[in-house]
Amino acid sequence: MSKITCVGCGMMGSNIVESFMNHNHEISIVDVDYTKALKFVQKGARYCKNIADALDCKFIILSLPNDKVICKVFEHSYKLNGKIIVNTTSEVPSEAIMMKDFFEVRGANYLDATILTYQGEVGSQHSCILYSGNKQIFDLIEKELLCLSNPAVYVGESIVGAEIIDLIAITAHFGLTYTPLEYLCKLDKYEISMNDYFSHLEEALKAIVDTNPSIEIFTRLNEEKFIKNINEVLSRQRIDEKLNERWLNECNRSTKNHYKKILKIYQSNYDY
Amino acid sequence: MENLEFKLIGSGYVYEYYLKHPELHQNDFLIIVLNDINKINEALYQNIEYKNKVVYCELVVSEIDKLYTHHLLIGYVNGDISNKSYIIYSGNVDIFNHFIKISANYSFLSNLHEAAIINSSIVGIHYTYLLANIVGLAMCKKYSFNTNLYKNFFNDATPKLCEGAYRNIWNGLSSDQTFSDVDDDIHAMEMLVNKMKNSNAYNQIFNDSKTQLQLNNMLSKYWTHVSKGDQKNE
Repeated sequence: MSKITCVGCGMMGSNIVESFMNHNHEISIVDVDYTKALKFVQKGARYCKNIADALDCKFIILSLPNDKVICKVFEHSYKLNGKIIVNTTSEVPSEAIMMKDFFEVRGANYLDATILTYQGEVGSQHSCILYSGNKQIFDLIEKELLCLSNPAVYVGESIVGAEIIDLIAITAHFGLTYTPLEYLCKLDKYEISMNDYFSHLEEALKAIVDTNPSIEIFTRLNEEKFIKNINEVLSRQRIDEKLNERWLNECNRSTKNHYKKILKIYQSNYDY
Repeated sequence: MENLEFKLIGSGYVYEYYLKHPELHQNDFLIIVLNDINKINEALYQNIEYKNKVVYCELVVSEIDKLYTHHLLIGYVNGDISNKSYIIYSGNVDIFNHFIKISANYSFLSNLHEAAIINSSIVGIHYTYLLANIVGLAMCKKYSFNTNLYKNFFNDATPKLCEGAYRNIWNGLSSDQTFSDVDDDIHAMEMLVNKMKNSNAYNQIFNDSKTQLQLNNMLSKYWTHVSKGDQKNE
């Protein structure tokens, strides 16, 4: 049983806390909002309003909205000598480098982490978490990190590795999941069978990959596999029976908003 | 004859090129390579007899019903037009069998709208995947991160993430929850796009402004395309 400090008890942070507590680790929670920590305090966790009160631990794991909040939380904590910081806060590579510098100046050992899992699945068999940074530091706490995902995936010494994979995997995930989702809504409208849709989509993707060998995008080869995976998951879930009006409306609304927002962001950022 | 630029005869068909369209209604089969429903209808309206012609064109799903014709064959070409291209057709099977002599890879779908849906799905999957990896490789270059490591971890992590998304959505369905999870994803996507932009990774690989502009245009077209389809289907 190890002493672990969890900073941030929001949507993702609370799942991290719960996973550690399920393995009987001794948890201190740092969050500005006591109510978020309350249910864990009732189960034996310790609540601290300031990080300075929670430094007596094997390592500190961060789940905060962004790097600015991290800097604010630690702005008065100059005595981090030898402390291990694991930062799961979503960042781009440049921010991971900045955070590493921020903590190393304060004497801490920094590991960057990215959680490639929906919050409810942290600690489950589906959990996938990547870590970048010093291997010796990672080895010191790997046993505890296995509570969050098994295996705990070590990407390498480069502090940016996990963030690069995270950003790109998330982007690909949106295209691969939301595109078929969007068109599932249309299948119902135009009376097309879902099985036909997936079968033709798979066939077309396979043909494109097979007939364009000159395009050296290695990952395209996975498209076919993805469609199979998607179809299998849908079949297992008997989604045909669940494609009701409410779901279709919700999905249409969500995808419409989704694309409109993305379009707006792109249009506002670039001159065409 | 002033409009006639050239004439080719092959495989039993006569191919003629016109700058204008004087007597096209005499032909049996029109191939329209326009991407705008208004332009297509404008061409078709010019001669009422076009309404009875077979039309082959590419449209987004919601535009198909607005087309001014009875005999429609929708087709989408993926890849270059060559013996390696792959074409998806949908519409009337008799028309397809009569007019289309297949030399390339193809699919035929009897539901008129299905080719458009398959095509849009491929565009969505392909470009998001492709562009994500372009950015990923740019980041590897910028931060000197090993591309083979990137490839291996990416290929390992992405399926897990995608399957997680499906579980998340279906679990929400079965327990009759609200769709806040989907909204979370939308929020995450917004953050992601901004972070991508702020990371400035594009510039590391596309330091030439022309290529940068082309990439941006491609992104814009992609999102416009899917956004257009969505809004029109409301």
